[in-house]
Amino acid sequence: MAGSLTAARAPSLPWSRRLARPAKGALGIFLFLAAWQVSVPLIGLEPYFYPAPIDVWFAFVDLMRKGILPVYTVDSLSRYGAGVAIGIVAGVFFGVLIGLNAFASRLLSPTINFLFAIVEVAWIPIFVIWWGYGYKTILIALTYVVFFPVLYNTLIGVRTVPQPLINAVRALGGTRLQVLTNVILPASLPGIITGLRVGAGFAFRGLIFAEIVAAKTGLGYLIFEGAQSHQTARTIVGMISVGLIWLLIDQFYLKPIERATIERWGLVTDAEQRA
Amino acid sequence: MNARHPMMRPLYATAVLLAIGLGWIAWGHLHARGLTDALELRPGRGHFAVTLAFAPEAFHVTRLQAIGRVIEVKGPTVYMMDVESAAIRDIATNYWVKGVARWPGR
Repeated sequence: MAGSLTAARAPSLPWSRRLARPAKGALGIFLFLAAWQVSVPLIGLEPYFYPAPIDVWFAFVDLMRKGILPVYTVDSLSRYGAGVAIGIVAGVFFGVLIGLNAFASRLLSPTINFLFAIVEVAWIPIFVIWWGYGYKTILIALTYVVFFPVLYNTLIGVRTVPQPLINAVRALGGTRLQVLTNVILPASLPGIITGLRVGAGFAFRGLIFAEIVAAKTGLGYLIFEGAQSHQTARTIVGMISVGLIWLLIDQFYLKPIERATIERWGLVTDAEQRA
Repeated sequence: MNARHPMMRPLYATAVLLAIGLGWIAWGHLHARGLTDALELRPGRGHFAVTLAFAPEAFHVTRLQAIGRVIEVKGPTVYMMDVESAAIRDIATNYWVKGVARWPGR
């Protein structure tokens, strides 16, 4: 099916049209930066209160020269990767369990619904008391953030698997494990991937907050420490880094994975492929 | 999987990240060798003066404190005692370390 979809793709757009959209985006960013730079002398506030884009650039160069930004970025990404991975595994496991087993659903659903309402921000002070400042607390907070969107989307995926598909495999002598691995899990993949993308986005916010509270390194800490020490330009470098890293993760990992999953299940449209 | 398959993009991105990471590590080892070869480091602890390319911030002092006792900071130089040779090699892999010299200690 994927092959026929690929063959049915619209012809490639010419380079001029392909470049038009990024060029417009770049122009928008340039105009925003220009307006910001011009506004600084007009407003006339201290640089620590309202730094200019050029100050932010110098702060970026300084953080790179001193090796701070690369180390903090790697620290944040390693925490993020581990938290998202554990959250996905736990979310898929419990999503499948609750989706397939009525007893597990009745047993766990009220507790999970209750915990879902308590955002990670409320948990972090307790996590700090239990596990102290540092890696464990951040990891658990991230796992908590990712767990719920993955679980709920997996649950939706599992519960919307067409019953005739399950019946067909059973009628052909398929075991419960074969039904799970060959029907339910593949059919739930679009839901799981949607949960992953949502959870990964939430996790990034959770990471920054957890690092502000419970870390001495990382981009969240950079944002917090910059503001504390009146180096506001550093805070803005941290914020921009967070935004850029999220865009890269989304563009290079989450979107392609989502697209591949949708393509595999034949739900992709021509417009989505060109987007 | 053909070259236009959506999953090629994460694969390429991972390959680029791995290449950057490995290049970074390799460069760090070469940098550290350039700084420490003349010291003829042997296993065991020693006292060192680590010079940075700038006045150290809390970030750098914290990292140096993790490998030994920071005795004094003068300008861009951090004076340290009881540092393992392997640890001084590790710290020299950082591009912000400009020089490492033996120090008699205090």
